[in-house]
Amino acid sequence: MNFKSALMSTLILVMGFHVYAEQASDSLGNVSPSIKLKVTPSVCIVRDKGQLCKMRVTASWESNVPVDVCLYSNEKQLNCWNNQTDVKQVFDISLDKKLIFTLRNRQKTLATQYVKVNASQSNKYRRRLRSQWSLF
Amino acid sequence: MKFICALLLLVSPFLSAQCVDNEELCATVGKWDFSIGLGAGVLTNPLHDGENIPLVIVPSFSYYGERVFFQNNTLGYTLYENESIAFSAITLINNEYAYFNRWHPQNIFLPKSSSDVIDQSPSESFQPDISYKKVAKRKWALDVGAQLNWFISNSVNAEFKVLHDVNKAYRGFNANAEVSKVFRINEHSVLEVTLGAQWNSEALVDYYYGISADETSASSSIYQGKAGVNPYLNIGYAYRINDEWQLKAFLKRKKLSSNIYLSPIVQDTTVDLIFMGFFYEF
Repeated sequence: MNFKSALMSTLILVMGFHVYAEQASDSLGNVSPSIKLKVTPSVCIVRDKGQLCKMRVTASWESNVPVDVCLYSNEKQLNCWNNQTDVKQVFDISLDKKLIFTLRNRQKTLATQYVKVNASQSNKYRRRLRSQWSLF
Repeated sequence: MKFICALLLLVSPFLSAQCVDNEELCATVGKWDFSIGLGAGVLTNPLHDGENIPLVIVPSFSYYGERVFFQNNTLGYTLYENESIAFSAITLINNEYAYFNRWHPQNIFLPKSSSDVIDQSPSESFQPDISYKKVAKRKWALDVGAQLNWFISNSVNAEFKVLHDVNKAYRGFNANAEVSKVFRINEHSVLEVTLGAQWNSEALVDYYYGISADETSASSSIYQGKAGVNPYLNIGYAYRINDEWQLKAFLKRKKLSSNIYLSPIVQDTTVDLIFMGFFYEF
């Protein structure tokens, strides 16, 4: 690599960093938090489809900067935290279909996780022995 | 019979009717289905003075367990089933009685004596027509028997039934053979066409359509019923509007055997059914 190429590479790296920094900042110059949300276990097993599942989940999140956020399951608020970067908490939940966990600040949704319900026994089917029109 | 058994054994390994979540052909095991139809229709009554039966509200039930099944008027227990055939013991109410049902308000005040039971003119040399209201009351019959289903393909089903009345109403037999094909027109629409034939034994035809010497004073009115075959064609169309509502239309024409329509109490050679309405599924 000659000097010219090395200079170009350095310039590209510097410009790339500058673009990233601009994207991560809002209009006031505050850096948007980068948040990871994890809810475990993410699947609840029930015997039959439609059956209610009751389970205990652990929700944990990490942020690169201190944030004020609330955790929701669908539209129900579970808890809120102020000026935190790392939280882990246990919740008891009931669900009969997919539940959406979201971590939100006042402006927007910052992270999303799903907890699904799977049936261990899927529906069994039989051939009908009379036509649906046999009522006439 | 040997030929039919051999044919069944021959085709079974090559044909299969896999059941998936298909509402027209398959039922979810252990789940009750109940729907109610609201619309307009009529079942024609082939009897002299027989009132056509209006169809406005039509309920429909079905339940399929591992062995037991109930669909509309048929209760059954499946003794053997594989992907090609099912053999079941069944019971159902014979629908021949529907034409003779006297619970209609017009039928309450009926002559009870046998002296005034015949509509006839003395000069008539041919067999006179007789109102069904003026012959002895026919009983309803509970039939019990066997049903064989042959699932020829995923959309074609052949059905054979042999039945006998256990409450000794007509003391005879009836049998039925039909083939149905389901045509899926598009995602929402299904058409089902059925071609079949119903056989009634001499005892059944004579009980419902025969005229005995006790019922008439004119010897020319006496009618001895004989066994006969009634072929029929059904066409059903269903359009699914959403998860709960379906629009359904149904047409049926049954051609009566001459051994039925030549009876003095019968005036039509066919029985027709037409219905169109909206069905709500619960």
